[in-house]
Amino acid sequence: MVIEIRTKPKYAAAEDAALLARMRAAGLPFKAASSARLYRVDADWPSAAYKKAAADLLADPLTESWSVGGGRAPAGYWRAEIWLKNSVTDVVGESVSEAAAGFLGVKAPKVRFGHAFYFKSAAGPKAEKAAAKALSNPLIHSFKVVKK
Amino acid sequence: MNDAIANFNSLRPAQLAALDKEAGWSLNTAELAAAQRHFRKLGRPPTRGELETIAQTWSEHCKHKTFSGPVRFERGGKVKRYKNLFKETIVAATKTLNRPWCLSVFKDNAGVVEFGRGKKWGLAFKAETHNHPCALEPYGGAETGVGGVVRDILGVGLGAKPVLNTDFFCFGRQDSRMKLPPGALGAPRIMEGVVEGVRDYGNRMGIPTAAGGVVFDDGYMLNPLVFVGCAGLIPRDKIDKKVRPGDLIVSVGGRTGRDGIHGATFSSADIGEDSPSSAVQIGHAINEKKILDALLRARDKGLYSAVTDCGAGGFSSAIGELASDCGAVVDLDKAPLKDVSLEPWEIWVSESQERMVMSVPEKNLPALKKIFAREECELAVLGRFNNSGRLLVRFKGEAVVDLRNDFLHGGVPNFEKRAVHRPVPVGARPPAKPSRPPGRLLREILAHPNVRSRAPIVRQYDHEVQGGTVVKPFTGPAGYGPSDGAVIWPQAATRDLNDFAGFAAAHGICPSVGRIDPCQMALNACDEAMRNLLCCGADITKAAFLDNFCAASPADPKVLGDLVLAAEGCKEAALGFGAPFISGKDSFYNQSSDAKGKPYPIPLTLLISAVAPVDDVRAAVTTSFKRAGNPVYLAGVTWRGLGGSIYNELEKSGNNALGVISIEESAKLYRGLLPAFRAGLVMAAHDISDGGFAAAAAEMAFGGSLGADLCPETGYAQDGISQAELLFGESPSRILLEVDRDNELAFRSLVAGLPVERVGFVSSGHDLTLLDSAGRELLREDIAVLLESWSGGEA
Repeated sequence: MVIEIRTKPKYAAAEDAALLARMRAAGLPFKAASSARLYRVDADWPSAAYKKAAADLLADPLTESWSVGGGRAPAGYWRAEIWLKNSVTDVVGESVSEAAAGFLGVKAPKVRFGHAFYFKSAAGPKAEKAAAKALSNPLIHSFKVVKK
Repeated sequence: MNDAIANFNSLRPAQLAALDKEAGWSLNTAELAAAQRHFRKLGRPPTRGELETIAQTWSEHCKHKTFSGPVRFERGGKVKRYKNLFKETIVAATKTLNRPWCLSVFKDNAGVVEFGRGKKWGLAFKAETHNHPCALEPYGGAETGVGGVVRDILGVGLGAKPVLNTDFFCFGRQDSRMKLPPGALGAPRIMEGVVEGVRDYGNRMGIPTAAGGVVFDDGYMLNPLVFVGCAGLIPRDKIDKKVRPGDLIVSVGGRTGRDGIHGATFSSADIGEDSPSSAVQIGHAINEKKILDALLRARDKGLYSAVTDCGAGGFSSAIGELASDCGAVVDLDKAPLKDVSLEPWEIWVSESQERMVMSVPEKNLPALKKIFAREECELAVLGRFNNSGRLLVRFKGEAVVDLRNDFLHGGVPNFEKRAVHRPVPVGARPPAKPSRPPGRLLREILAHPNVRSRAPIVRQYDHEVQGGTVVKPFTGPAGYGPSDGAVIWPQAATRDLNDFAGFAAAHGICPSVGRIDPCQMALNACDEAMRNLLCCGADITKAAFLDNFCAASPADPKVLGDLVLAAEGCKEAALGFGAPFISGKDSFYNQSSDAKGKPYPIPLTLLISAVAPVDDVRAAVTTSFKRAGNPVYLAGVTWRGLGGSIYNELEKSGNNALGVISIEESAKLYRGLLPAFRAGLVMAAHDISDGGFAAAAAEMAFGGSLGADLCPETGYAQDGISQAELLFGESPSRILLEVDRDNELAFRSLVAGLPVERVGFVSSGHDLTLLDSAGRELLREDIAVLLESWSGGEA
């Protein structure tokens, strides 16, 4: 199950501007862009446990929103996911695993950490693929453009 | 590969080379042959673990074969031979100087000098490079670079408390349009990742990051250089360590995984598209913080007799080094693993981060376990040190490695390498008339990537944590002026709020000079570091240097020739300044193939890091002007020559001569200025380096939000010098000083006989005005405009 954490739009201006600037520097002038953190949790939990972990452990209730089961791209956006390859040590995933076990009082789940990026452009998935490449390192990351 | 290893003793040289390439060992023909002879004598084939251990122990990273090996240097028909280049240059200078305040040099994970009042403390200092990992994965490479050098400080003696992280980078130009080969990351991507990695690791560990810098040059486009340093405080009675046979081998910290395998041997290879992803290391700052806290508590209770960090080569290197004077039996099946599918040899050489190895008397184990458990820091007993003179490594009772120490640590063949002098044509004619007016030139120089503000990088670092950063990266009332170094008051380590002893840390680097003359590059870099220390108000009579050399392949005689000259320059500078080298590191094979497949080497680069005590941090000096009406003095002589200058990148001067440097004269000048600093007569000081006199004056002015009216011609200068050289030349050994106007006479009497002359005054206006000796304006620029150029509008 994937938990997605996003900065609420009213607090995300600086974050989004930095991402857009980074894309512009890579020669990819998108109209709009935003990002989110992803946690892929491999556990046999009831759905309430995922929601509790998302709401009370991983998200800041004031500035962030969360969703469980994979985020949806707003209309007109493309969504790219970047994950650490399974062979790469994931220290964030390890920390979240330990924290989740302590927080929920369950056996430590397997957790992997990743990022989602949302892009708005008229160029189609080719540009999004280029963006995902520019944001990842093929040595340690895998990526896919997953949703329109 | 297993078949080839089983038949290792009968392989032909070409087959050995093929095996080496497949395994990623980076052993050369002579080394493979030496290993083969050894196992032929033993009458058995090696194990994979043994060959991995040999490759790691004999790697350039761990053995420094080039620098510590014999060299034949040819110059103009003359030949000079070195048996050990490092010992005959850098170490020789330290030995000759024989400073009593040097407490540990060239024998531990860092150099240690005396610190503070009462001789209670030692100051440990070390700088490392993490170039190859950062070329592959900038964020992870930089993070683990910081983690590694912090562990060096934790692993010096019985452990020092880190109080300062330093960072210095060499990147390709961010605006470069150079076509990159497949797999290479662009310069902006590398810089962004490296800065984030240094930021995240240092900030999370609670160590201030200050005293850094960046050089941009397309020579680093495919091979960035990432120098990370750390300084720490250690009680003097904890500086010595000795492994005791019978002690337990205890590992603490992170678990062992597949990450970072072959990092040590990878550093002896050129970077290419097929570089191994397993060489990527992943850092975990919080795990290292846990080790730090637990280790220092255990140190203070005297629970272990030796400690070192698991760096390149992992357990193989750490346990191998600790056991090199005695022996050890290791059971790898006792090591906590992240990944149970690891082969035993992988456990042995994995460079998983945040691990330390300790030598622990068995009776202390329960107390040690308790301390580490309180920090939720994993601890495992891997075996025992003994007196066997052998390294025996087992996995579930089966031998993985069984090697004699004398072969492992003394068996590496080292052959004489050829080095040649690389002559560079030098044009010393008067520089051509510049195409721009001086004011515009100054603005463009201030906006040049190698001069402009580093705020976008520096502001990401927490330089305030621990509450002891007295001279911060930026200075002046608004924090606009760049500092020449950092001054640290390490009260977080001494816990003595009545002792104001501190230290300054600063750097010197000038690769553009190295392209013309590598010896002068070393002299200039040492000189720049000394000037920066002095400008912070440090006691330069107790300055100590670290050397960090980075070069392309030393198999190229010209590369090695440059290195020989730079090492000789280091020796000359150390002896001239009376400043010993206390530690250092080299990094070779910083070269790749460009998009056309041609070799693309970095320029020889030497970073000099320097520390010196500041007797009372309350008297530290900064670069920004302090008070209108104060006189400004130029210390040092401006020599002709625009070689290696920023000016020459903007204007075709036709002059690439280097300004003269005399270490003897520089040392005399700096020591002569020291009493004026000590007497509190110097209000501000700034070294003249990139951008020359005009750039230094501009930085002092906008740093202090004060103007100045200056006439550089009234300072000491070589006859026949041009206006361009006076304003923008980068001849070494010069400092601009703001002197307390109420004590100017006292200052003048203290510096009598030195090349120090008044060149103008700080003004209450908003202009920097530079005049010629007839009083004509050479330039008049609003300091707000200069600040805008320098900061890119981000101040």
